Amino acid sequence: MRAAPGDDPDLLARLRAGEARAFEELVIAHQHRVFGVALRMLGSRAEAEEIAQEVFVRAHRALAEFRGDAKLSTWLYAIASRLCLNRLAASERRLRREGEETLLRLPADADPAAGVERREVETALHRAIEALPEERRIVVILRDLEGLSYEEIAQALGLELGTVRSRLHRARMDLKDKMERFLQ
Amino acid sequence: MTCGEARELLSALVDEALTPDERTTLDRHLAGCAECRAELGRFRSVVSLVRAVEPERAPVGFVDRVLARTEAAPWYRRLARWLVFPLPVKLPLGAAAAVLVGVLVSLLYRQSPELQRAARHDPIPAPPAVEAPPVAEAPAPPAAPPTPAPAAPREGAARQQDALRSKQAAPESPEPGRASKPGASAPRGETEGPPQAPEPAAPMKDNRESGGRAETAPAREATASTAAGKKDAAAPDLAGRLAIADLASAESALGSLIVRSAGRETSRRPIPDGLEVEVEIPRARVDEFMLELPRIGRWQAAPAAESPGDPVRVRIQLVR
Repeated sequence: MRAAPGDDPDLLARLRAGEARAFEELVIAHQHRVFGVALRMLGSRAEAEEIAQEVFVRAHRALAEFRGDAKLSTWLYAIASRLCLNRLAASERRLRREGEETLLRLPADADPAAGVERREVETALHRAIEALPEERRIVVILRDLEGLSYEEIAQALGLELGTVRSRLHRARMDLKDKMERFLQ
Repeated sequence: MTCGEARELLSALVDEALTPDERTTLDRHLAGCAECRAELGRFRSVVSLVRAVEPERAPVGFVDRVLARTEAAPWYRRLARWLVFPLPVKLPLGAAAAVLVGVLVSLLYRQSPELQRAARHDPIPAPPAVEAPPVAEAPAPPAAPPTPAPAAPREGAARQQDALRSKQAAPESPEPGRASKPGASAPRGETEGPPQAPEPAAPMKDNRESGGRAETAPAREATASTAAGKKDAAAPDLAGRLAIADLASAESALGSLIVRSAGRETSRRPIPDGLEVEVEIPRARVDEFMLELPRIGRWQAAPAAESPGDPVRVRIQLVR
């Protein structure tokens, strides 16, 4: 599970005090995660950057209202998830496919089956995640790519724990079915 | 518990998120059901696979763009970042600085008769780096002017030295017509450095007396060929050495970087201690590509072409 830097209480205090450097640290610490969620949800680097920027701009505006009852990272994930889902629901959104550019990458030793090219697995997994219904995709991204707990996902998405659990189960079942031939 | 009910719990089992009762019941079912155990194995495999996906990285300059929108950074920090980071800014700045230095040196040289005299009569021997090839093999052009004729040089002394080195690598007869009219007949007149443009100090003084004339025309040709023949196999737009620890992993990382940058590999050949790879990267993506290169190994860039083509040709020597 990936650690979430930038969640220390000191940073929060400095942010609330309006310290510019503190906000810069927040962006530096969370930029890759927020961008990663947006990219996996939207499938376009340009659109992901646009949304990721918007996440931080909104966070900057709303810092004074942040009560601190969730982690800063969870709060940012919440904003990112909501913006992504809104964007996906927007009827004017153009479908952008960028192929290779947004393909996910696996480490060199992650080839699950002998003789199968890693590239092929990456492509299949990329497509399988991309094909998940949006409300399932965001749950599997937050859980398995970003390492959030069920409770944090429930908090970020405003869902019941049971709903998180069942959506995650459906998402993983979908992925398992699509990746069946690569699994031992 | 039926198989269907058991499978509903597999996801939570992988996350250790079952209640104690659910866990007990499921364990009992799995103990007696080989099919559900196999299903659990596949389930664990796919979850491991998703978790192994490498994290994405936000594009270069993302933080600056966010800060620009929130205006959270003080002006001097934004200015510093603007100057230091983005390659599209840094490269032209570097080129402009080089032009400025060249112009200043040229003016100084032209307006100082002492310097010109010193250049002609200075007895200091040439350093070995610019040692002239046998003069007899490179006939001097007939109407070569006896004194240097500095015009507006585009690059500083380093470029001159490079041109000289390239000449040494491929000595050939200079073209008399061009040599007789320095800076006038070359294909890109205003961008062409004059052959005897102001050197910073003593190097080449003797060459100018003896083989110096033979040095300069090919040097000019080398520059001209960069401009005219961008697709010439011998002249990539960007080149350099990438010092790496492990060739196989560096090759793989480079391959993946090429794909991410929408480029392609055009050739590769073994060299001592490594491999030389030539790639073509779309011009729009080349900055990103060059910024990522140092992640693979220690990158030492060679002098770049003045105006890279599209796609940009990059020659990389992977050396252990």
